[in-house]
Amino acid sequence: MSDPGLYTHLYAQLRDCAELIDHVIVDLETNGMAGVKEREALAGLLRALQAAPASSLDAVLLANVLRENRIASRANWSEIADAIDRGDASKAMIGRLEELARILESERADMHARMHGSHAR
Amino acid sequence: MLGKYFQGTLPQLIERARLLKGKIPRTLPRDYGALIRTCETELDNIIGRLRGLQKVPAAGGTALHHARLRQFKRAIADLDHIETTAIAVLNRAHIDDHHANRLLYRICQEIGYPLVTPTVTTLSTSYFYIDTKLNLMFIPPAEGSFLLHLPDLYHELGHPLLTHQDHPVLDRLRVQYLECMAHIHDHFAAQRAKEEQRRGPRGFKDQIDLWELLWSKYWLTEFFCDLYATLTLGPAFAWSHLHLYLKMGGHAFALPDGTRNLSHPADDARMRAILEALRRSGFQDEATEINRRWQEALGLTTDVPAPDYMHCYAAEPIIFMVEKAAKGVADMECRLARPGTSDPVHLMLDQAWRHFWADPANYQRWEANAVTELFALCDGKVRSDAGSAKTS
Repeated sequence: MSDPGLYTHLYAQLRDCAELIDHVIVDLETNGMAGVKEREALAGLLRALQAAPASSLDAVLLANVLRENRIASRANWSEIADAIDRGDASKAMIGRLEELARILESERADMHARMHGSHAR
Repeated sequence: MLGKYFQGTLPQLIERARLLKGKIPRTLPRDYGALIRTCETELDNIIGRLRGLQKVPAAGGTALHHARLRQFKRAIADLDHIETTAIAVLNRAHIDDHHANRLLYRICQEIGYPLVTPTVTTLSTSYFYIDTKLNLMFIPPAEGSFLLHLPDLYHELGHPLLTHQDHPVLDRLRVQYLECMAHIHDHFAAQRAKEEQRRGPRGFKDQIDLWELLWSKYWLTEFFCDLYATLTLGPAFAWSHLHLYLKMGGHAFALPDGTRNLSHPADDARMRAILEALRRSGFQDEATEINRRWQEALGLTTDVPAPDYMHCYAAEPIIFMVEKAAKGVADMECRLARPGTSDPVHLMLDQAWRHFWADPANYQRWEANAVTELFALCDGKVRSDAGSAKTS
């Protein structure tokens, strides 16, 4: 496979993961209850990331993204997962999710540019 | 600001997505049915996401606005991708694409491919690759008229097997893939610990981190797809790898560094894995012959491994990976290539390489006839013992 294929493969994973996190942020920020399934999924993913990153493709992806962006690698993801379960919409909690969402969005945009053969904006 | 911007933009974008649905041609052969369905589903999904953004109240905190903007950008990127790839492919479908689609369908039937056959287009601008989300394979425009690189189709077929989730058959391969991922992590963790114990230079530890990242992010996937191709096709894939290396390969023992990260594993490491898989499949003699040619090919260059090469591509994790991939492919109940395998496309691709080496001067003539025969076979115009015939 040449590079565009590898990038589309990663792009789809990054996009899905970024969508999940932003869905939970919107849900928490709007006091919504529509995203129970998404909250559970994100909490599960963050716990996998903390305990056994090689246990799922999504956790592997997230672990790689965090490794490349050392700023977020020190976070206690199980703690954040517990807060999501509680529906904690505190500023600190949203801030941590936003940091993750920003990093993923930056990676996704970069991958999209690579897929289409250009970083031109 | 964002609320007003969305108010003006979202209806326009929704209309654009609807318009694209109308641009899907109606007269394509049924090989395009899956891609058409995927396009419609993806466009509906994008329209749904854009409509969802219309519903969120304009008021709210900064984090909410940030999230909405990110969601908006992703929807636009997805729309752009569908428009410039899938819709473009459907609108420019050509008779060469139809032949390639029938060939791929035939291959998938032969090997017991567990997913819907991808759609093929000959609009590639970058060798072979597959868009796993659209299940759309790109090959170069003239590739369908030649046989020696067609084994790479089998490699591309491996990619969707590692990306689709919640599929009981594919889970059997994914379990093995994730075991390899954990094994790679342990392997490099042990290397790091060893370096710390002997107080090695910081630079080498950074190298180990980079190797682990590239294995995890790109290389393991590439290795698994090579192995899927080798296990289902056999020696023809190994020959195709040698062919590609001689035509387009860089340094056979390339190692990444801080400025030059590599999306693909070193060609030599790939060949070592491929040969190991061939030996496990009963192709010992072929593996010996291919390895002999491979060493000759390496001898034509000045490529030599750097001292760290075997730290990055150690034998043990490669052998472990071959065992796991072989188990995963067998567990999926795909048809494994063996010395006696007689499926027509398999035989044709195998024969092509035998003819190439046995009589290189006359290969081109043989190939022209073989390609005609192969496409007649795929179009259902000849009996399915094609691979064993017309070899003169």
